[in-house]
Formats: sequence, structure tokens, C-alpha cells
Amino acid sequence: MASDTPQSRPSESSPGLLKSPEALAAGLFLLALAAVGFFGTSTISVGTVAEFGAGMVPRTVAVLVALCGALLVTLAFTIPGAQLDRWSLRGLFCILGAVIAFGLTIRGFNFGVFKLPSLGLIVAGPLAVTLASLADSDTRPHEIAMFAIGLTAVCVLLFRFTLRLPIPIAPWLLGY
Amino acid sequence: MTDLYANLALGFATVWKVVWIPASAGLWIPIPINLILCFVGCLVGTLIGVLPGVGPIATIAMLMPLTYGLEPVGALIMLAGIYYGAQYGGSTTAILVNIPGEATSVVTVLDGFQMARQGRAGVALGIAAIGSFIAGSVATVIIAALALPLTKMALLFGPAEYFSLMVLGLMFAVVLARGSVLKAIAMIMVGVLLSTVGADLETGEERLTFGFAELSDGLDFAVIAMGIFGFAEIIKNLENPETRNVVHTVIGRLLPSRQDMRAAAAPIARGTLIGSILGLLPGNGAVLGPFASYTMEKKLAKDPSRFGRGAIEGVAGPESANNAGAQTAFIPLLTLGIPPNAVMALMVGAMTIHGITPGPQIIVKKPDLFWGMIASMWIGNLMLLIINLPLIGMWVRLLKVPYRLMFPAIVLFCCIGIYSVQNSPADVLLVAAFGLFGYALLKFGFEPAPMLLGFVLGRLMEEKVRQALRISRGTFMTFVDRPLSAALLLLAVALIVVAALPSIRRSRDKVFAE
Repeated sequence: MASDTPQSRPSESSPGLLKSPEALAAGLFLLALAAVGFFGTSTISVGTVAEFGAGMVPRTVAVLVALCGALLVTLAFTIPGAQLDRWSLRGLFCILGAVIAFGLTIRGFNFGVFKLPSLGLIVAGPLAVTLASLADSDTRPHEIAMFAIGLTAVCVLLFRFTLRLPIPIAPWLLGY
Repeated sequence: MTDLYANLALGFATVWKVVWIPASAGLWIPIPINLILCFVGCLVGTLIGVLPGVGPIATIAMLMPLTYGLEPVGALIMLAGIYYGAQYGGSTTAILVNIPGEATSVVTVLDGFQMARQGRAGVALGIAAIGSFIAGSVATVIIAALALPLTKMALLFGPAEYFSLMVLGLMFAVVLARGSVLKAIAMIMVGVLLSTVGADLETGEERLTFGFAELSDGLDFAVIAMGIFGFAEIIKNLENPETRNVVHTVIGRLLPSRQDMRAAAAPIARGTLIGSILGLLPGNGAVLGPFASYTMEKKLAKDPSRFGRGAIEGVAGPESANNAGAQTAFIPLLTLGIPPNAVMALMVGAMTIHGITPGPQIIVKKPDLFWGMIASMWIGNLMLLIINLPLIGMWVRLLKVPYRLMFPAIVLFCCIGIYSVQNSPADVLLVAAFGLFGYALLKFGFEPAPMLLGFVLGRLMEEKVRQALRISRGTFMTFVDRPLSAALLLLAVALIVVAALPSIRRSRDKVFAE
């Protein structure tokens, strides 16, 4: 079943037991998700068929996900399928890093040992743009610096002053 | 028939509502507020939707906060405008840059981009706008005519029928997904699992929240959609440099010649019909419209070899089918309260924020909202025609911004958008987590669309299955004893059997491969 994905090509390099690394990874991924769903609700009552408890649906569905995962793992050893795609870690780290940086700085964050104050869009904006831009090797430092500042200014005007969204701009400087 | 006219009249009256605003010294200016909202919605929807890699889901999720401060009718009219703008923006990107923003404009790329390379980009965009307008007008009348009878039918639905109908919808989504049937089913299950996160509807017990208070209201649809369709897609686009072609083509004349119009007339009519019917299906049947229309035009053409080389029929038919389907997809939502696809699910979210529960009761309780929205669909289509033809030059200039600047800007817009949904920094962090999740799905060969539908329908399905089994005192026979429910389930089983048959699977792959 996994063999009919459009981009799939039979794996020529590995004639061994494993016929489709992609299906194996996909199956294991599903098994992991199912485990989280099943054991994450283990303290909640399942109830009866006539009177469902809160745990009934999540645990039933988790079992079904696990079945799909187990089937995919089995197929990975029987039907030839696609190789695993390479992950681009640079893109992943930079883009998601930019998003996380935005989320942590926009209204501050309490790390327990240290409390980051609310820095507002004036800091979070250029930070997110600059971090994201590092995902691409074409990025030019001067250009992106100018662009980050200009874009943040546009966003402040657009979102705060035109659309009146209550997004913090620079609480440490302006008080809002 | 007279009902239809009266209802549409009420709708247009709502759209044309005039508010008198004091200007200066006793001077009052009449402002057609809903009309302006519709216009602004179409304009910003197109503006964001035209950005490569930003499909309608991301666009609506991003722009949804704009409508929060408005009254419900105006907010929904503006959202509908954003939706049409986003759809049309996606087609523009498909034709000019060869990047389909979403599944439904995949087909437009084939001949649209070829027309653009031949210097006929203007004509391709023009015929897409004209075809969409005609299709949208017809679909508006279809919705208006079908809404009342379908609402009456909805009253026959008990919990068992609702559950079976949603099962049927999910099976459609499986059949329509690309690639492995098993993976599509798994994705639906994962979606349902995600929908159970948060406090249980009846007992209030926390499920799968792992102690995070932010999760007790459940996961927000916009958060999942933005993570998977926004950020995961950006990371994927960065891997393939060829998806970043920038336009260097001449736009040429916009209005199609008389000869073009003659060639496009029949495909527009056929596309409208196919798209309207498929859009009615639960489980995102609208996706199939453009594919079906393209295949049909190719079969009917005297010289099929012209297709893929800039045939105007290959743009006119699918674009009409696309728009007709986009519109009739509102029917299951407005009459049954079941969102047939991800975009409609976002609409549910927006309606809930304004205190409206979609379903058969809105047509009775809020006729001005219901018919106003239907009328605004037609106005929205008209505005697209008016806005887009003169503004094409502006969209082209926007598309000339290099991708190295475009994607950080998209990242920032998405961050602001998701923060604004609930003014919650936790949502932004959650989006990052779903970006990683979505990227893993793409790498493992899963298609995320069925998961979103499973997520959307999950809560409703849980509620209905609970009610049905409580009424039947725990026997599952209730789903097959009731004839309507049995028929729906039978159809669902038939679909999945057909999808698994080898001969059908081959032709299905062929449809997607074209």
C-alpha cells in the first residue's frame, strides 16, 4: 500500500529485509503517537458502551492508530517502497526558532530561574525576521537588517494603529 | 419560487445596509458598511493569498482576527470576501509563478503557466476571473434554492445519522487523498485523536493536556493549520529552489478576444456544473472539481494534445469548477452544521467566536445573517472581477519580491496572526510544535489534509456517537437499524472498497498524476 505514493521509487540500494524505510518510519511514528494517546489517558475512566467515560474515544482511537502503525511496519518489510527523505535541519531550526523566539519575547516568558520581560513587537518582529532569514543561504545581511526594521514598522502601523489589535509594541519603552 | 426571491431580496438588503456616520457639523455620510467589508475582505484576501506558499487556509487563519471587532453579519461577510480573495489569489500565483497555493489550483498550473510563458498571462487571468464569476453566480442561486429543503431534511437527522454522515465524509476524504489509502485512514485517526485533547465536553475531565492549562480548551484549529500548512510548507519550499521562480513574463492584454470567449464558453458551463455537484459532497469533494473538469475537457477536445501547452479550455473549465465547488461547499456547513473541508472548519471557528452555531437553526433564527452571507457570495465574486482585473499589475509587482525576503515576511505575518487569535504567546509556541509535527508528516509521506478533517469532525463525532449509544442503551445496531443511517454507512463502505480496488486505484493515481 505504501508503494503507490507518487514520489515512491523502489529501493535498489538495500536488497535486505527492509523494503521501505519510509513506511517503517511512518509506522513507528504512528505507534509513538498512539502510545502517547493511550498512556496519556490511562488514568481516565473509559465507561461503558451505553455511557461513555471521557477516556473511551481517545483510547479507542489510539488503538486504531496503533493498528495502522503496526500494519505500516509490516508492509515496510514486505512491499518495496520509498527511501526516507533527507531532513533539512537548517530550515527547521531557523524557521521554528524564529517562531519560538517571537512567542517568547512578544509578551515575555517566565523560565522559573529567570523572567524574560515583555519586549513587544519592536524586538520580536526584527528577531523573527532575522532568524527566519538564516534558513536561506541567499540571505544578504545588510538587506535583511533593513528589511526587518522596515517590515516591523509596517506591521506596527498596520496591526496596532490601523486594525487596532491589542498586540504589545514596546511596553518597556512606550508603556503599551 | 417566490420564497427564493423574497429570501434573496432579504440577503441583498442586508448586504446593502447603509449606516449613517456623522462627518462634521451636522453632515451625515451614508456608508454601505457590509459592502465595504466585503470589498476590503476580497482585497486583503487576494493580497495575502497571492503570496507563493500561502494557501487559503493560512490566509484565512491570518486574517481572521481582523473580523473580531465587527458585528456577526459584517464579520461573516468579510470572511466570505477573504475566502474568495484567497481562492483567486491562489489561481493568480498558479498562473504567474507556477506554484499552486493549494490542491485545487494544481490543475490551473498546467495550462495557465504555459499561457503565461506564451505572453498570454493576462488572458489566462482574465478568463479565470470571468469563469469564476459565472460559476459563482450560478452556485449562489443553487445554494439559495437548496438551502431550505436541505435544512428541512436536517431535522430528520438524529445523532446516529449525523455520525454516519460524518463517517461518509471522512471516507470521501480518504478516497480523495493522494497516495496510500492506509496512510490516509491513519491520518484521519490521528486527527480525531488530536481533537480529544482538552477538557471532556460532558465530564470536564482533562484529557491529554499533560498539565498545561493552555490546552484545557482544546487545540485551536488555526494553530494546527498554520503550523502544518504555513511553517512546514515554508521549510519544504526552501528545500526545492525550483519552486521559487519569479515572474519575468509579460502580462499582455487582459480581456480575452471573442475567439477566446467562444472557446471558453462551453468549458465554463461544464466546469460550473461539475464543480457545483462535487462541492456538495462531504469530505472535501470540491478538490475533485478541477481535476474532473480538466479530464473532461481533454476528452471532449478535438485536439487533446493542445492541453498542457496553453489551452484556454484547460484554465477556463477547472477555474470555474474550483469556484463553484468553493461556494457550494458552504451548503453542508450552513444546513447541517458539518464543515466539509478545512476552510469551512475555520469558518465554524469564526462563527463560534461571534456566538453563532452553524446548523439548520441559523436559517430560522438569523435569516438576515444566512441570506446576507449568500448574497455577499455573489457580491464577492463580482468584486473579485472588479478588483482583480485592474490590480493585476500590483499583484505582479508583489510576486517579483524575491523569495529570500518573502518567506521571513510570511513567518512574521503568521506569528502576528496566530498571536492575535487569542492574544496568547502560548499559541505561538504551539504553532512551532505543529510546524515540526507537520514537517515530520511530510517527510514520512503522509498527506495532512485528511488529518485536519478528522480533527474538525472529531469532537462532533464523539458527541453524536455518545448520544446515539445512550439512546440505544449501548447497542451498535442503532447505526444500521435506522434506514437513513444504514444507507450512509453502506455508501461509506462501498467507497472504501472501491478505493481499494486495484483498477480504480490506478486511475485515481492517474488523475492526480496529470
